[in-house]
Amino acid sequence: MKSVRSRALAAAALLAGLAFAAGCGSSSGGGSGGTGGGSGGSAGITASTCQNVVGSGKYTIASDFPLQGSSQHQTVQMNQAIQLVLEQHHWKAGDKTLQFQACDDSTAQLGSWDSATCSANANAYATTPSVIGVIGTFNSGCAELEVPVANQAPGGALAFVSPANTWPGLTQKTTSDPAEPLKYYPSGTRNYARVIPADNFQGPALALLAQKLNVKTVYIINDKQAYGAGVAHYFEDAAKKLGITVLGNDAYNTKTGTNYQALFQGIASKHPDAIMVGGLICENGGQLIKDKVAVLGANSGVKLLLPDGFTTQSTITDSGAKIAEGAYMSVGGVPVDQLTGAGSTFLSDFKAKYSPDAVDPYTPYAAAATEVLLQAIAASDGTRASVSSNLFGIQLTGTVLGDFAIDANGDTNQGSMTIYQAVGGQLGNAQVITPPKSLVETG
Amino acid sequence: MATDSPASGRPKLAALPALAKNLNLVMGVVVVGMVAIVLIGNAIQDWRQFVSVMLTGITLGSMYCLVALGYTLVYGIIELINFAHGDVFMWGSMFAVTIGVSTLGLDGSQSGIVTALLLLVTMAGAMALCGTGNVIIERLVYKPLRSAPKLAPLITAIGMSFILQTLALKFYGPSEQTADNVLPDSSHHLFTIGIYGYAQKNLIVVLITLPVLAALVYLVRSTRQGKAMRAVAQDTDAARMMGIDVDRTISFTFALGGVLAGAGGTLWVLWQTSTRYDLGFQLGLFAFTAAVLGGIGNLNGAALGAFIIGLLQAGNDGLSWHVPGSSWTQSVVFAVLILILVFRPQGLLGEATADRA
Amino acid sequence: MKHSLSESWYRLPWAVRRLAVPAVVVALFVLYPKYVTQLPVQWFPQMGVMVQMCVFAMMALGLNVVVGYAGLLDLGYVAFYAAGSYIAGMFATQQFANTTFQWKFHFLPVAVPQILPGIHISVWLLLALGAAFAAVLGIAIGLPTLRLRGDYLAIVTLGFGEIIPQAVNNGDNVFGRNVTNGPNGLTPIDQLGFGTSIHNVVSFLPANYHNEINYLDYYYYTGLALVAFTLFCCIRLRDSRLGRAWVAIREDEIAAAAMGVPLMRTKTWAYAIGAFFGGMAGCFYAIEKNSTFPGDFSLNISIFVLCMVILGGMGNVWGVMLGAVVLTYLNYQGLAAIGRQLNIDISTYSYGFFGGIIVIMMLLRPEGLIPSRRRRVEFRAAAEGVDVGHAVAEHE
Repeated sequence: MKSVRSRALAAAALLAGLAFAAGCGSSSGGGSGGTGGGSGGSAGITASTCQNVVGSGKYTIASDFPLQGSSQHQTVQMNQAIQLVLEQHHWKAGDKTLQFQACDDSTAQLGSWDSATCSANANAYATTPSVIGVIGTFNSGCAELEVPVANQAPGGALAFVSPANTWPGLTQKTTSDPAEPLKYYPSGTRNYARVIPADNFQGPALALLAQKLNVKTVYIINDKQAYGAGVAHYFEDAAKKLGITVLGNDAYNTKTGTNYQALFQGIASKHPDAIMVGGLICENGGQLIKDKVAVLGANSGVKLLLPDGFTTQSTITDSGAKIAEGAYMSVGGVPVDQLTGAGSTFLSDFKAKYSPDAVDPYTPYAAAATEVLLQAIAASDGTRASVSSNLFGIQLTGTVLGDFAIDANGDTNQGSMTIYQAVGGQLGNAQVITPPKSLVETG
Repeated sequence: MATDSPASGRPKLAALPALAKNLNLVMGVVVVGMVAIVLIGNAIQDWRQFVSVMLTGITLGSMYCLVALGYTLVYGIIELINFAHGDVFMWGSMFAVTIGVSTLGLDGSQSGIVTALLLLVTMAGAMALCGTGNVIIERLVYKPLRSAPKLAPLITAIGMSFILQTLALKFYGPSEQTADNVLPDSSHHLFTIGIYGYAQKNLIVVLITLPVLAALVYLVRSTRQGKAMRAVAQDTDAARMMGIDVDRTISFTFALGGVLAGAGGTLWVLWQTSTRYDLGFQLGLFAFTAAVLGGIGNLNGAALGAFIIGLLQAGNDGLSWHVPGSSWTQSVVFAVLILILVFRPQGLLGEATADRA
Repeated sequence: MKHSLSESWYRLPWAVRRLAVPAVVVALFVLYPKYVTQLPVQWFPQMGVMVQMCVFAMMALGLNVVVGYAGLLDLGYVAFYAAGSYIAGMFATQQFANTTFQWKFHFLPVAVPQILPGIHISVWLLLALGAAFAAVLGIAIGLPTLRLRGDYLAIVTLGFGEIIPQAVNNGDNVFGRNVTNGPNGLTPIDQLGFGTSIHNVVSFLPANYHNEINYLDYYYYTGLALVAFTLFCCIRLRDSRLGRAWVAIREDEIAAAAMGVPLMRTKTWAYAIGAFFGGMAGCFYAIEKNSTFPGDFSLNISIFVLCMVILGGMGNVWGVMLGAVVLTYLNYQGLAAIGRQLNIDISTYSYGFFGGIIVIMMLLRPEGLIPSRRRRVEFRAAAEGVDVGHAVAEHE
């Protein structure tokens, strides 16, 4: 009997603890400002992975990001950025009224994007008539699943604009899979665009930088995920074309709590002039940089080349200003801290409204993706097919990312990359590199 | 032996146990031999690289050691794989950041003696908090399940692990918690072998671990409480009849595990200068593997297992002559574990009792 | 009124009374797609979640054979799920039309154009192949490791559960050849369907599920059929000679061996059969979600399925299915629905809520929601320190 009572007591105590956690959750989650209901607006997406409708309009814009797990701090900001842009446009695209729903493609138990949830979401968008366009996805793998479903949606191909997918095969031919990109567009028309340059620009830009720095030998490590391995692959190709010796392209373990000193000791035995990392700062990147410096010495000696998964202030905070000093980081367009014009206005508005710890590099891309979609909707006749067809060849001026256009494949023409260096705890020493066509590998 | 020597009792299989025993021996020798060949090959190819990588492995191993002991202590006494232990370790590192950096303002600018004193306070604080926390968890969720089926507390521990991670996420957020270098940073080398420097702090981590281990061994071997622990581990009912307060002893064991995790967490922050809410997952998995490798329930075994895992991981990442490389680290660690368990089911130093193995 | 109702119930023939409740339950499940959209509240699982429930019910039933019947703790069940998924992924996609392979092989594929390169084997056949491959893998893993007991076996299985996804992730460079397409995963996978010739004869069987507007309903029915098959096998196995041997091993290994139960063979069978259903579920799931990625297979999945088995009630197929339904619902819909209802952003804390629910369930009902009768007696005997065999005999 006693044991039953003590169990019940323990359960009650736990429940109380959880209620406390939930209470705290509501205070921090309040920022999303869900007014609920969407009175007067169209019926939103009923899938439980989507949050309540915000605003009330005839057309629904959905976002599709992993809202749980390790990329959460990025994706929450991206949703906030989308909402801010919509508010600044008064929830309208041309004469069409809009509402917004944030959808989640991750699960609690996996802590990252979940392929089953991605397919289910895509079906939910396709079958909800008011959905006119989707901003997403975050992970290229998820886009590979959602785009073909949206491509065959009733009422015409449903437009997707991604702020974060960098796998080239989504829009272009690749050498690794001859069926790309056509296998993602079974209906024959395109419906997918992105505002972030694909990896086949980023890799060559870093390789050109390496050449400029007089690097003769380079060692590549990658996270063995779609993004990191992709950037590493395109960097390797370009580096070889430029006559730089690639000593190796190995995977590293991304789990928090991994130490990389031994890994770099192994690399040190090959005496590289530079290290290139294909990965993300949130995948134990801070530790990686610390251990690189611990074993191979400061970044002024053996150079450290990082792609845009690292181009954020938190790379410097996580690894320490002294350790990050001299590391090169590339980004398409302009990094958040250096935005000018509309970008800096947006940034100060964003900081005033949501007061984030640090603005994530993907946040302005989410805003730019929203602007692309809004302009395509404004120019459309209100059907899905028309929005999709309006994505291609669209010209944007004065956006968060400056002026850019979307080409016939759905790629941004911002092929020039800005490369920053960590200087005195800040991103500085900006230089612009535009990879020539000969280096940008296409299938 | 826990093997099924009476496999079926049929006559034609009568010779099997003897064969299996020899086969075990042969296979064991083959596995150890292969590892040895790879090691020797690397040592010949570049002994400087080999020595530096192994030294890194030792530091890594001493980290795993503190965590593995927590697993093995708890398992030894109530046969529970305490899945939440890695997350207690993570909380230890969080406490260390909160106490050391936020409260005491440790940033490496203080003089040597002040730093050492503040460090001691930080470590003691993290150890005390983790120990207390672990006891509270034990009293709250494991104790009511003591008579329940064995898998119930296991699942509870998994649930607890999720809760601890979420609470850390809630209080510390998803980004890394960083601390300044309090120990001499990694550019301060104790000595250099060729191009490889051996950082002073790598040695300091090992040097702090050793007295903690010695204290633990003394506690379990020679004190009254330690004897009570061993008695409860051996036979709970008999211990109870001898007048040992079993509940208290079990709580004490959890406290001890928590204290070790607190010490480990503090050391982690000192060494790596950062931590995050999901730190406990992989580290806990490797440390648990180490505990099993050495023979779960056996303190020396856990320490041995931890150093083996540390060396394996470092060797696989850092050596260059015929090793699978860092994309296979988890696989290598687990493959060696599986091979050892298959050929020596009770773990390296475990006792071959029918119940345990 | 009430009285007369119960009276008339008891006046019904015994066979009707016995079959009435199961018949209603089956009808509720079979007709679910027809009425779910009519329900006034949105709390009911959507069709996609129902399909996932079928998948996880299959996996939980499979794991139940290993953990519940034979008493072997398995923390690496995800390995079999991965094996099944990759069988579907490799042999029903354009994977082997990449730069290192230029293979084209079609074997009775459903609704796949003749010109499509790569290997395309009938997905129905792949369901069986995936299951069989997983079973072989189960035997391969089981043979060297099953002589270990308890927690050592658990950690070894955990090891395999970590090794296999890593091997798949590194499988894009097997001596220079791209076998698994590595982290980019395999997509799209051929869809289930009956082909045009069958469709023309029996019109309600679609030629290709994905061409139907309510294609999830078809996956749901297929999933239900597979679950029914799994359930049938599990119940028959439980009552078979093999099932009784598992119980004997679970309760006392040494006594079982002494009575002539071949330990290794019996345990290996449990492993192979458990793996079989895991592989089938993985294969079906991969086809349904049209893809398979190495990231889909983590330790979390193994633990998730284990939680279903223990939460539901080890050894009891109905309990295990209930556990699968409840946890799948929570993971894919319930937690989000709760968050939406309370208008809070629950996603940050869902992992913790999940943990909290598990802990509370265990504290209140450690033997699971619907424990098997024999298991309950065993637990009570173990708790009271009574001899298990004696207690069971007394109970019966």
